[in-house]
Amino acid sequence: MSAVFPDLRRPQYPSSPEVLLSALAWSVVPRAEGGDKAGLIYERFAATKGVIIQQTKPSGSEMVRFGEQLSSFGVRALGEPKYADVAEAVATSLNGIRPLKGKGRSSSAIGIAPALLQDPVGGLSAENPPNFAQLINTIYALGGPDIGTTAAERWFEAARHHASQAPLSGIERALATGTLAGLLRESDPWPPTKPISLKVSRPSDPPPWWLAEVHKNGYATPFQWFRVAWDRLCSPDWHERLPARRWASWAICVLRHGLAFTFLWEANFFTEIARGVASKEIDSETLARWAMVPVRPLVPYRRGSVSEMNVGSSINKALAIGLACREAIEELIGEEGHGVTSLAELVDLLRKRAGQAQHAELARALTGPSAGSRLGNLQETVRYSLLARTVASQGDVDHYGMLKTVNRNYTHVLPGAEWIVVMAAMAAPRPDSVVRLGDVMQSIKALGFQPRIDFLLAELERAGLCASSPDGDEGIEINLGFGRG
Amino acid sequence: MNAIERLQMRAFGGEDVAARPDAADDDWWPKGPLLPGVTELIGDLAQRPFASDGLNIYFLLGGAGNGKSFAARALAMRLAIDLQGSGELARRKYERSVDGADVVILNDATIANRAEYKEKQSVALAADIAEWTHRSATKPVIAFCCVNRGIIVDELRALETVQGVSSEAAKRLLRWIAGVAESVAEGVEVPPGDFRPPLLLGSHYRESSSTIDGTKVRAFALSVDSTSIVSRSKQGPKKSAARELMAEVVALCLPDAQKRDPNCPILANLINLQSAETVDAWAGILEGAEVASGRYFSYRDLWALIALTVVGPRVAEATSGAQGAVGGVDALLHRHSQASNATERLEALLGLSQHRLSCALYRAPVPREDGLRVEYPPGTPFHGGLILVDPAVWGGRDTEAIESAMAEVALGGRPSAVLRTQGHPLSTLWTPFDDALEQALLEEANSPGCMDGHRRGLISWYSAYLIRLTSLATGNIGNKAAIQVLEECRVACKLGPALPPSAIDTGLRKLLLPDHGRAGDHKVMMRAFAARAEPLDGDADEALPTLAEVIHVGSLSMRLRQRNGRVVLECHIAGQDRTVGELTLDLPLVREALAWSEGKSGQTDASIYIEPRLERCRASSLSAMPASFKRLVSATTSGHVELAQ
Repeated sequence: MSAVFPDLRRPQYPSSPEVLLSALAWSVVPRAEGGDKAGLIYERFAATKGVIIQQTKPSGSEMVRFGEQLSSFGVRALGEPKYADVAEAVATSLNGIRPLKGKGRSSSAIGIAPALLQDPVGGLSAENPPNFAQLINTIYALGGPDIGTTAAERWFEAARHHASQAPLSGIERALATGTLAGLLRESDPWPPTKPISLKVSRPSDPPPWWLAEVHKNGYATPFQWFRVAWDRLCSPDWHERLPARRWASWAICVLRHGLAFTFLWEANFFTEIARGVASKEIDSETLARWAMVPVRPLVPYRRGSVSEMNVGSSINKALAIGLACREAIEELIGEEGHGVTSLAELVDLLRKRAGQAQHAELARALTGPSAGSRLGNLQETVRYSLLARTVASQGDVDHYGMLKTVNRNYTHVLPGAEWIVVMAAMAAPRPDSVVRLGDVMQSIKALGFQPRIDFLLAELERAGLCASSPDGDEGIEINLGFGRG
Repeated sequence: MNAIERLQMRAFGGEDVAARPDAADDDWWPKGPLLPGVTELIGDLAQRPFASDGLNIYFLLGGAGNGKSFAARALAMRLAIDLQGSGELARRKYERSVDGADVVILNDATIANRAEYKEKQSVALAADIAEWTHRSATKPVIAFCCVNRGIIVDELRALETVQGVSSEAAKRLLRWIAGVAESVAEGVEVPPGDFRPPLLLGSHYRESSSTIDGTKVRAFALSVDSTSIVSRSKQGPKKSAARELMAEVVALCLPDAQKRDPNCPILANLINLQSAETVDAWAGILEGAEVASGRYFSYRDLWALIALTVVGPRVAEATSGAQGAVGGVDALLHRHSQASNATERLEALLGLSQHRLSCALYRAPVPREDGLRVEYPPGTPFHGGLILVDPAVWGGRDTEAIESAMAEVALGGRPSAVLRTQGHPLSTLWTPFDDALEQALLEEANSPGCMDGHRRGLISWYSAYLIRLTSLATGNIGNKAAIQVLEECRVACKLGPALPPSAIDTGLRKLLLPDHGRAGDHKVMMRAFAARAEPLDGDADEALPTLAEVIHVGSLSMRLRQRNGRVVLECHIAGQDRTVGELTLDLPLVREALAWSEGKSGQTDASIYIEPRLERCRASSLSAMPASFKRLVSATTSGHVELAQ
């Protein structure tokens, strides 16, 4: 039975977001029976308690063997064999960003095999991590009509392309027959020819009213933004133009923003519903619209003093209220509401069911939410998804963050150098499309972020993306840098 | 109201700021010429060379203040259509019947009336085109539309959601204007010569015709914002709309200015601007600012610039009860005349200095007594370019002589006296105001009570004041070398793709493919599968073997192309035509390329913003490069070993 409300499983943020791609990878590439006894991480720096984690990056004597495997698939030194040196070079080239405080480092998750070199258990050092693939597939499903595919399956198309390109193709084969040999099913071919989706990673069904509501009214939501961005990025137009590592970085950026903004949207959704049910002043149609399309930006960016520009506390507060409202609303609806065909109808039902005690509960949720591990995980997920990561070395800078910690108390909207590039690119159907400032504004607005035009213009100018500005305003053309064919 | 006050009103919000097709011109004001192609287009419409059928639609495209409404009024006059008396408010559409055809003049800057357009308000232009197409099946329609491209983008987006505008012609025309479609129709193009040979007005003009839904549709689009009104025209070496308008305004304002206080900076400005050489230098500075910002000034910008140069900024000094810039100047002149000591006198003169043409143009700050606080007058969109050519910030040619003359202050002398004795160009612009300012400033700086920090601040500011003023005599601007190269690039590719000029060719290539000598001459070694497409440069962390790709720098070719007024650097694989990477060639990038040839690459103020763009272009270009152009190596600091693939 489908849920009454969009069913987003509770998240937890991995210190290496490459794990998000790895979760998608392991959801469409079957694991060998018994291959999941240990979690996987590419490089481990510290021991973990209560969970077995296996390092997949070759070390010590494994290097020579990895070098021999590489050699057998054509990646070898000309002249005298230097197995260890070549293996070391290849292994280092697959390093992902090293987080400052993490217990391990992920691989860069390019192609298919390198994406399989870690999993959520290893990435989070947790025995029961969230099912990221299911969560991402659900966000994707909520973003548009059912077309019989999932976010993970779309990823597979792009990853397969990169995996087929030299020199990555040889490295992929060496990893599949070496490091990953015991983890993959022997009967499956390498490279895999089609995605085989795990049942547990299938998306939750959208509520019956969802798609009709979204389509009828043309609502632009973070789900729709993610769906459009992911479909574009995974299409040949984009994945054939971007280098493998750049594509993976962009994909992680889209995943991070998709995750963060859908949970911010969810918080706003339940807050609006709770407020409307509690007050009854607003008609249910209007309330439904405000719940679906937030009236205020989900990240309340504005210019001002250091403290006025802080968005950290308002994000945390919105999530706290939203979670409390969600719990109160779920309690109120109970087992009812499965047959409703519109959100307004659902609001009417909630209003009918709300007695004095429920009103008090909603009022409490709207004012004084209590803390808990669910809330902590949620706030961390949103915060760290958007925040530029603190990294161990200068070469590992996170260029894709949207927020930056300016001091211990304040977090500002200070996008990394490549943030605006990804945002602008995802507003363009193809790399060589004509895209204008208005398109970028519209796309970012769907995500739930509504900065002033001068903020976007400054970011675009800083990134050198403005191709012309004779008209100013939304007509400014953006040059994505890929040429016009 | 005298001429100076009228000028101030025009620049800062008077009735003449936004033109209306139905509002009569004030003949007192001089008029600039119509932008290139507009006269020809109006003539084409007036002659109506096409058969009397279908929809013939003319678009003037461009941002606000480029003279579109002025052109619409010129068209109405040509067709003897009386648009006046249409009401107090600007209207969106003016319709008249002329020789059996419906002529519609549409001013899209005016927001469509909600009552008239209802739910189609957000797609008003598309709705209008749909209606004209429908009407033209029985009676020819000629439409002349003044349109901002931003509105087209909005409408195209809104058309995806708004129901009720199903006209194919409207959608195709909007896509064509926006540059998304090459022609107004696919596969049913009517031969161009069906009514006359195509007009050859330049790259800023397009025309297309076809039959859509059974109706003949002819579309003509002219961009009115893709030519400069400040650069010299081909008609003569010193002629441009900016120069001519400024000269005429000076002639109008000077009689009123001569009645003002001898210490008035407005009078000083007009005295200076009487000289054709000063006007020429002023226009040259604007030309440099256009090149630097990559954006042409509109007529509205130009009027504001003329007013700014003559009168100064509107709110340069907080004054009690004073109205506008002229009122502010009057209040400051009064304060100056009433000053009881040197400090008060200097404060008033520093406030007045913001109205001096050079300070106003470059938006010079004013130092204050506490030594730390500096006040900037309000900025405008066009200051973005002017700030980039400020000789006091970016080092003009006149800097050295002025800085040596400033040594005179320590000896109790006057820098202006030294410069004027040397025949320095500053002499031609020196006025009683400058004399009073220098005297008051030196008196304050040399007084025993002047704190050291304040004294240094005053002297430094005054040095910048003289440099800025001198630029109005010599035309020398900051960043001149980079601006010249950028202009050279723009000229080189005006008629089509061109190679980068030799002055920056090597610099650009080295920036894109930095060769650190690790892989041999003319080869660059790039880390494989790296987050950033950056070359290996022998850092300590590369002691471990690193997987890298070696590429010959000659594998990548570059060419320049103009697109929508900006110069774009396109990268393509040697021997292939397809563009694989692009960079907008702007002033910071040219400066970075020039800095490379001086061995200072990475040291310009914009390096931090340039590098991500270069890296992105590099990544895109190298990604498209066939494997046969790359050699895979395992590199260490001691060398590299080539790998088979």
